[in-house]
Amino acid sequence: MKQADISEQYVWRQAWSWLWFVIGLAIVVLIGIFSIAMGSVSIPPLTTFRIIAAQIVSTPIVPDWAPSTAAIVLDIRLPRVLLIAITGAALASSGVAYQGIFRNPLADPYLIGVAAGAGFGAICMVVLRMRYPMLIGQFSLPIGAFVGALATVAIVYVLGRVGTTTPTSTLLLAGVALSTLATSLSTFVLMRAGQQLGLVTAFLLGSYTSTGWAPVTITWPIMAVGFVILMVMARSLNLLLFDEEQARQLGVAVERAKFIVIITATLITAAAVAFSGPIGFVGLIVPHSVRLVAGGDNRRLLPLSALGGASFLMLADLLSRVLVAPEELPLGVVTALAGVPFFLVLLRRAKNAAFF
Amino acid sequence: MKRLIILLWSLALLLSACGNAVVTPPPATPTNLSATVAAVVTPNASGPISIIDVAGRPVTLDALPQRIVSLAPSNTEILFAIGAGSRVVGVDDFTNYPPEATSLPRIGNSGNNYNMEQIVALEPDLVLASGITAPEVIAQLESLNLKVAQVNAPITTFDTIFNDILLTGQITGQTAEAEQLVASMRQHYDSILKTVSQATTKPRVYWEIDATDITKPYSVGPGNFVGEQIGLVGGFNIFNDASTPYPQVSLEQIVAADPEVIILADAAYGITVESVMERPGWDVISAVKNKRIYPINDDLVTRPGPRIVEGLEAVAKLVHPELFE
Repeated sequence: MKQADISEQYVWRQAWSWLWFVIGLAIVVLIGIFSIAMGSVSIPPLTTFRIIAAQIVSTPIVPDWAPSTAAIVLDIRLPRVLLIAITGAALASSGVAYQGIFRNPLADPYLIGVAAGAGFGAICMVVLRMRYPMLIGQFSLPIGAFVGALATVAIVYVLGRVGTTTPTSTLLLAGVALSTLATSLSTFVLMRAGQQLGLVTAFLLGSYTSTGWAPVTITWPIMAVGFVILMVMARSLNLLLFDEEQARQLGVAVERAKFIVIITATLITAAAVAFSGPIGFVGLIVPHSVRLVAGGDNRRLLPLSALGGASFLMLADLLSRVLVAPEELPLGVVTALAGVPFFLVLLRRAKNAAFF
Repeated sequence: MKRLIILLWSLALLLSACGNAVVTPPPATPTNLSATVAAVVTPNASGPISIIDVAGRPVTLDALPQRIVSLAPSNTEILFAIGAGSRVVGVDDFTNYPPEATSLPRIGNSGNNYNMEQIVALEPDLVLASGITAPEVIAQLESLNLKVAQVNAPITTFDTIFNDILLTGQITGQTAEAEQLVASMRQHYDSILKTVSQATTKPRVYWEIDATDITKPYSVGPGNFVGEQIGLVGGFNIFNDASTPYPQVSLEQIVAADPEVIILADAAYGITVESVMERPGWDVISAVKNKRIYPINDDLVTRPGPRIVEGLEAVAKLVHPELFE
């Protein structure tokens, strides 16, 4: 291959990356607009824009809408859509990270126990606060879930250690074992708990989403910092795709890279799961879908997956809210029903291309 | 003179607390009887209303609430029973009584999942939460500037139900109607207990909540309001010594306990008397042999609302039919 051809291909690839990024951003914004405009209570889209514009622009807009309508748009829909976008971005990025670390296309953010730990933590918190009412508060459930998720992954990491290294195989086995343990314990505690089952079940199905601005203000810094760290580690992730020995010879501090990536990915996943419950398929399907269109370079994959995850989850949330209004479908159900067929279609089109 | 009054009050308290009161306590006493007393500030119907709800939170309204949203079916029933039904603008998914309430807009309630948009769109000036409403839901509603009052105690007894009704009456300005309702409920309650006090037997009762797996059904245990009712009407709950309020029991335990009466609280879910008679292995149970298997309307006995004494009477009639001829 001539030198000129290779550089030409490289430049072309770079240009396409930026294009994909812009397209991704546009999709996120578009779906976001639709999500805010639609809901179980019908509000004319123009009114929605004017309500939001009234908050941003300095020239006062005379309100011709009821205060309750403004409350619906600004205090219920807008923060919810933002939280869903952040959650989707977090799950997709950490999906990319896990798939890179474990070199396994089936890896998703819940592989080493985040979801099971979060569920168990949430259940324990609900049961604990029945006995100690002082624990009751708006954030007791998310805190329980967050602590549960982190504790589970910490235990898995310690269990998976062999000497001074943490081979991905032992990590995987320990993760699966501990996830199963956490799930069984959750079921046991649920059985004995009696009351408050509904809240916990809703949490586990992914149909409990915190409302209000507090979850957004808490999760977006975590997500932003985590994402930046992952981007810094993206090149190491690329090199880790060869096996670890090769990566070491190419200059990657393998154990340290694994540690940083797993901790970061777990943190952002735990934060996302704490406020929205464990939502499946996003972390698994979005990275693959993005890979099929934009290639496997993690430096490109991470930001595009984040955008893709945000769009996908916002779309799923929109569907869950309007399909059976005034009720809502559990988000976890919608992501599975919507995501799987979409992914199968993409897979068919790329059958002959080696994409991973 | 003061000591005499105190003595008389204590006597009235004692008699009503025993439950077999021959003398019905005067109507004004109900507010003093339970531990969760609600402080009332307003006697008049148009001024500001200020109460302390069952969770100890102070709730203040500037005027009588005109647009009330109910988060639980028990609250809906109480509101309609005390004459505040015309001011209810939204109800939860499980409300099914009275019939006028079923046509009102629904605002959710599957698994503590309420539709916040609908609630806000209805512009309520008061939202009534129940004892099992999650604190997250209440916090979310308050962050949307809605007034929320929890008018239902988390652990149910007859006294807490009477208190809930009075509290609801106070916060909606229907104090007189609420007191009247509680007085008549107390009277009915006392007469039921008087009747069953004449019972000479204590039948063993098996109360079935769920029998999806007929070898491992769910029943009621100690610390359970329904279990207490069985005891109150002179029956013996065969799972009185279980370890949780809703134990999952085994068929062997049921057969060993040999209940004389089976009450089907899952009748609304398709369980019929015939289906129970056909269950393999159940034919050795006394209740099945004597065909003393009765369906019951679960709402009457589990809802902490105005129909609870009707529910108690229904249970009493099933356990001691001979006393209610």
